[in-house]
Amino acid sequence: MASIINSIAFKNFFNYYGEFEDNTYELEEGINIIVADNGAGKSKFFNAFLWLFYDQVLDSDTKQKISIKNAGVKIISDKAKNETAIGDYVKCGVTLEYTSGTRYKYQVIKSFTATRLDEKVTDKNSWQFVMNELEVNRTELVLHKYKPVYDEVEKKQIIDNLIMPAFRKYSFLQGEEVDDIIDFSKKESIEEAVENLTDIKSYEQIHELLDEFKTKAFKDLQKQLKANNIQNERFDDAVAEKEKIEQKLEHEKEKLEQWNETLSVAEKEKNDLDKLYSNAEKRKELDDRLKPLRKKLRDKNEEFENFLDRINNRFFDGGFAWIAMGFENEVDKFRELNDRYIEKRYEKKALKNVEDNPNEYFHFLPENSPDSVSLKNMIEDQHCYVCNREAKEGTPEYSNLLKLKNRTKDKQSEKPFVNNDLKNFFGDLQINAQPFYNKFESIRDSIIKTKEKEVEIRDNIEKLKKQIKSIDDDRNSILIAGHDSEHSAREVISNYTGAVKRMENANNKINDIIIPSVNKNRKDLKAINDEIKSLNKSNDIPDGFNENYEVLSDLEEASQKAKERVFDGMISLLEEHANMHFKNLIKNNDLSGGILKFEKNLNGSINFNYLDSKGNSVYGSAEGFQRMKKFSVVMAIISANNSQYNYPLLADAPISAFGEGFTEGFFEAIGDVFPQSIVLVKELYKREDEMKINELGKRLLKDKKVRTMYVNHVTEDSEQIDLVTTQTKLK
Amino acid sequence: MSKREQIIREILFDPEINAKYKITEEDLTGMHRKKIVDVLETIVNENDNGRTARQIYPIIKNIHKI
Repeated sequence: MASIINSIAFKNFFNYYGEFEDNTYELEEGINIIVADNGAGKSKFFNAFLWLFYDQVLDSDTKQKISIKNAGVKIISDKAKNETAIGDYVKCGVTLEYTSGTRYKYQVIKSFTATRLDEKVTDKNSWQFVMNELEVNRTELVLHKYKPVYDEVEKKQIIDNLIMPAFRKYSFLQGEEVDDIIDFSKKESIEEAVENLTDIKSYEQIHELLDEFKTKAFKDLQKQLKANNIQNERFDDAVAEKEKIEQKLEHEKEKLEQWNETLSVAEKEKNDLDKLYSNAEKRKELDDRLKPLRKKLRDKNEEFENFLDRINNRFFDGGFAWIAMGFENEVDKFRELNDRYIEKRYEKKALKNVEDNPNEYFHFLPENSPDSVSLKNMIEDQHCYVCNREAKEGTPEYSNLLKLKNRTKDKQSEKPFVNNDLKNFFGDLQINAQPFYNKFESIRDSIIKTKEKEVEIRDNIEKLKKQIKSIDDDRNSILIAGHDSEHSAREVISNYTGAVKRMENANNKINDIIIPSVNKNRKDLKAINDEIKSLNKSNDIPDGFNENYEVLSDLEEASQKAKERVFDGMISLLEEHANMHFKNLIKNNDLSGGILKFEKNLNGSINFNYLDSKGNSVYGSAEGFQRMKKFSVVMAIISANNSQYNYPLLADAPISAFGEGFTEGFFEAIGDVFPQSIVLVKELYKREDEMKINELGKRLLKDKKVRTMYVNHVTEDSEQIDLVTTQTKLK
Repeated sequence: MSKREQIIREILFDPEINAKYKITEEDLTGMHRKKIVDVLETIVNENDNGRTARQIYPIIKNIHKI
């Protein structure tokens, strides 16, 4: 008597623009696949169910569930909102049809009306919302004609019957939530699962009652003894001792609870980190590769900065003399000027000298010009290199050279003959320019070489940046889903080891100290109870009281053990089923051998570990593999249920996380457990293909088990307001 | 077998109980039942009927005639 969803339709719901008829998915028993790329309505499917069952949707910004009333404007299709004139209204809703059993089919419609108040489209204050009444219709399958259901209670029941509340969490497997669905590290979650599957609650109730009755029976017994006025010192002492032991036991049990709590917390941390651990290792590896590259980049950047600084120097550095570029002609101009100056000066000086001292030594040339080294050479070579004439020893030219070499530098003896003697001015120019005018030819080359070097360094920097970006992109794609991705890989690893250590520590405390203590106290308690019983027997009171106490006491113990047996039995059954499903899931994968083992912890929680064929635990393996483990357990909970699971599955199947080897096993396995599955996948989408699906998608299309397949598209290159999702039915 | 029966059997056929009280099929179905069987059946049935501990206990005492 399974619930089978016949159709789901949307009206102006997120990207599903238009009427219900425009956005309908007709579904059948068996496997239904909806190929939906990101942003093409994938999570909206889940939102539809959230609305149907809980009047909520998941806010994609905050990742929190919010009520429909508050979500209002965000839910309505942007295109529809835009097309609604001020004063006009738009309707938004979801509708679902399902069949339960062989007689009835139901239709549920949830919607609201929004009236536009002003220009602002996205502001919720610009709209007035009115929730429409919940519509539930029913029809006989034989004669199809919907009739409304009026009773509110019945309406609610019909919605609940689609998927019973207790089982919803096993029917909605959305992304990473699969991991959270059954967090067996929490004692409560395994207990809840077992509760759903067994009558363990009844055993608990019976046991509680018996515990209470046992205490009452004991009190009655005591009363009788007191009433009989029997002075039994030993009895009183024994009772007192019994109370003491019971107190100690209570105390130890409290300690046990605290340590169990510590253990649970550490275990939870470890399990949470399990997910991160394998990713953390990968991340660490990438971080280790990034570090030296980043340092290289920094160094290169520094090198470049220095290089740029030096360019400035090249203008003024005589070695490069860039500033002289373009001044080639200036040298000749200077020579000309200088020559004219010298002539003029000579003339003036000569005139002056002619006036004063006609035979004084001359000062045509500026000081140090020619410099003393050149003079020395000219004297030695007996040749004047200034005018390129011979100056043989003994000639006037030679004595001029000598005089030049020996001239005094005494400026003060010079008589001023002009107002501004520019001798030093020209002299300095000549000297300072000396390094520069030899370099004219080489300047262009030097600049070109420098430019080449600049390009080279820039290229190196770009290359490094690209390398770093590529590794960084890889690093960022390693999702540390649902957690603060600021955690460095190292932190994860160290937290993980820390949590494991704390678990070990807690386990040791519990096993080596507290449990033995509890056991000892229990033993002592039993002994004292036995003594009390025997003391009772020797007393002269009606047997009934003794019997009463004895029977209840024995039953209390037995019921406790029965409860544990039922629990352990169900765990074994779950283990069996989980392995069955797991084998199916990994059938087409490279993983061979190995089993899932359920290990019961002292604090009542369960670990399920994968042991390879040698019996070694395999930890922290690939994400897809972890998902498969958890999927197996979810399906085990369903299949271990005595009756058949009667509800549909709505799953977001991250096939890339599974890997292709898992994918076929996955579809086979869910087909075995769920009478109907609606699976949303994005990895089958291929934009370039005519049908828009890839090879695996085509294979699945041919599979007999796959009854329907839809492909969602979003209009490409559209503005947000024009974004709509349309669907194509391939099967 | 009803759930009630299942629970009763599960508890009564506990090894220690069995060793001490020697429960047989006869004890569960026949007319002359051991008190322990009576007590447990009473608790299970009355609990199913929604009775509280306070209401059930006197019935048990009655079984032992106290």
